[in-house]
Amino acid sequence: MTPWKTSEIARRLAERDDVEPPEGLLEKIKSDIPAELPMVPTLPRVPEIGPRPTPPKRRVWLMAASLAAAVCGGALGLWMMQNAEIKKQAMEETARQQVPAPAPAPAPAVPAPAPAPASPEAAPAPAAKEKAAADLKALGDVRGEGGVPAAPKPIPPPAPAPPPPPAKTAPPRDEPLSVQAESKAVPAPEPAEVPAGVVGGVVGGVAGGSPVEEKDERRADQDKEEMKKGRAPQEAQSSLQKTPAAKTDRISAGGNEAGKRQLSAGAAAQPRREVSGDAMMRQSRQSLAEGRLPSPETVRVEDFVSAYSPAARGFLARSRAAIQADGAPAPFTAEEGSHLLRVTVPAAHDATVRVDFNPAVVTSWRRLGTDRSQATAATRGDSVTAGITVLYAVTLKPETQPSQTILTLHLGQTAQDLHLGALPPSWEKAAPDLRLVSLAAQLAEVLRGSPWAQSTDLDDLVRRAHRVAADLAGTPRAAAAADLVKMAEEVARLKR
Amino acid sequence: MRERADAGDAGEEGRLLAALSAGDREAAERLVERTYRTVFGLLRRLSGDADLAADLTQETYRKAWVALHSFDRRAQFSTWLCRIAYNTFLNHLRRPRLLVPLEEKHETTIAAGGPAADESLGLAIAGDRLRRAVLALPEDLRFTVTALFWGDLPVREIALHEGVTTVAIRKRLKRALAALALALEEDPQ
Repeated sequence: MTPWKTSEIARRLAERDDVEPPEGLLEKIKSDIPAELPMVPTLPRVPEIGPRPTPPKRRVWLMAASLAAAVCGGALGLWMMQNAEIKKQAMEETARQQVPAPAPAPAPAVPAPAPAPASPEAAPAPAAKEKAAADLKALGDVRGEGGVPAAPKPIPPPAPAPPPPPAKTAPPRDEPLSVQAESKAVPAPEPAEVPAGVVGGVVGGVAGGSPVEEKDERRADQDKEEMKKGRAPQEAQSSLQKTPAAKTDRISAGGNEAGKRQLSAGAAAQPRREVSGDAMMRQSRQSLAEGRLPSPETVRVEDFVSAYSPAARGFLARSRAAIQADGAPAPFTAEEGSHLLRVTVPAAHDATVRVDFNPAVVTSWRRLGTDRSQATAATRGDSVTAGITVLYAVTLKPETQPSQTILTLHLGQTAQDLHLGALPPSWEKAAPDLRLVSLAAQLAEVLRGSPWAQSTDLDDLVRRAHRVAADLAGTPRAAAAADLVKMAEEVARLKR
Repeated sequence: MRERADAGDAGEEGRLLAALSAGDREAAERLVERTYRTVFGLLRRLSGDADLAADLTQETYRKAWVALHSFDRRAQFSTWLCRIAYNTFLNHLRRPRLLVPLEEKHETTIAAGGPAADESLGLAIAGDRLRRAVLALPEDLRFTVTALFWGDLPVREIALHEGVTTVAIRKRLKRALAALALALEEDPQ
């Protein structure tokens, strides 16, 4: 016999029974009805148990409440993420302030050696170091004590040298150009690390390195190093490189190698700055708010660049895979071939990117914030640490063709070029974001009395800032642009 | 459509109950006329015996008149009656002197002039196996099956009477059908 299916059972159960009640049954039942029938309760029917249709009004309220809850939840989450980032930055800043003196960094590519730093500054306080690491850990940063990468190479004590001259010089350089770049931050590169995620630059095309695997220990080391380092006065970091002489440079969170070397040189003569970049920036803002210009010693270009280019910092940067390089013709100089280049290494990369300028095209380059340009032949490039945005003022040869490479970014064994043809024809046609950062850097140069910004027309700077603010209206950067406009106007007013 | 008919029946039933409360005997007779076929059909399917079903139907109404004051109107009057009929049948089964072997009774359900004798016998045997399997179900599942299929009560009415949701009734039904399929598979007789 075939097994019974439930549908078959249901069908059989539902079959009508055509058996009629026997005759006389109805009469018998009727005859049994008592003469006195009991009262039937008149209670209303008990409401049905189970889901009932929700009244429309209540449904609307529920929808509104759900929507409000979702919006509030989203806003709260966003606020918490931002707050965590701010907290982290504040802790890093505090840690920096607690470290009394930075250790001098190696300077293999420095043309003009300077006197050795004072000995107490060379050794960071271990307690502060531990506290900084603990703070980072407490903020969710697990880059802790685990695998600290190789420390920077110790520098041989540099020979005393006279302070750097203000004009361009071509200091002699005998050592290999990229020794430090190879040995320092780039971790054992994988051949297949070609940057699949590298995207084009905002304006002038892209240069990208390979996406490096997150190495938290290395990040912790860099952070600690930065905290130990403190910041030297801008004047101490100044260095000049001529293009045939200086081909390579490297940029780290604390400044480029030339800057580090000059840091040593200037340490004896200049008071070491023990205030962090954000604090310095706040100090500058406060001075302007009080109606006076900030002291030139307290103004650093990299603080302004960092303040107006958060692309490399913050939690959003951790999800970005692109190392960006772009640029535009320089806005405040009539010198032919002057260009402004920007290199951004998001924090997610956690590696140092080496920037090599092409000596066949670039006659000299200068990292904004330093007073002297580098000769490409002597110091060919720079290196950019993760989480840093760096601006370069470069001078190109007049005969440079669009297809020629201006600079090459190296990450591990991969490299990517930035061609002149990838840059916009004028500064005005550059991306608003780049224009905003370049104006901020120029304003900082003016405030710190840089010899490169002596002839800056502040009214022109204000006009340009207004145009940038108009272009950025309605974007997340609108507030930063408006802030820069306000600051530029204040500086222009005070400078008059 | 069925809901609308149910609503109409409920309205008519409410009027008859109101008249019944006022001592209207005719209203009681009308209620009997409306419901006695259903009650008889249920009992006949439960017992498999038309004569026994007639006796139990009569007994069901006698009990109903006595217990009319306890009718809480949570469900319809017909639903309430079906429950009384169901309990009456169970009480009948529990009386040892009245227990009748069900196997011996299926011959009585073969209608004269119907299908061929062997076919009718086969159907009757299959129907009797199904009836015995239903009676062997747990109490909650058994009442659900009998009220739904043999008492012609809607799921909503059963849910109201049982004090559960309609979803629970449907789950009971699903479990009951699965149990019946298993029981019939294990008992090929």
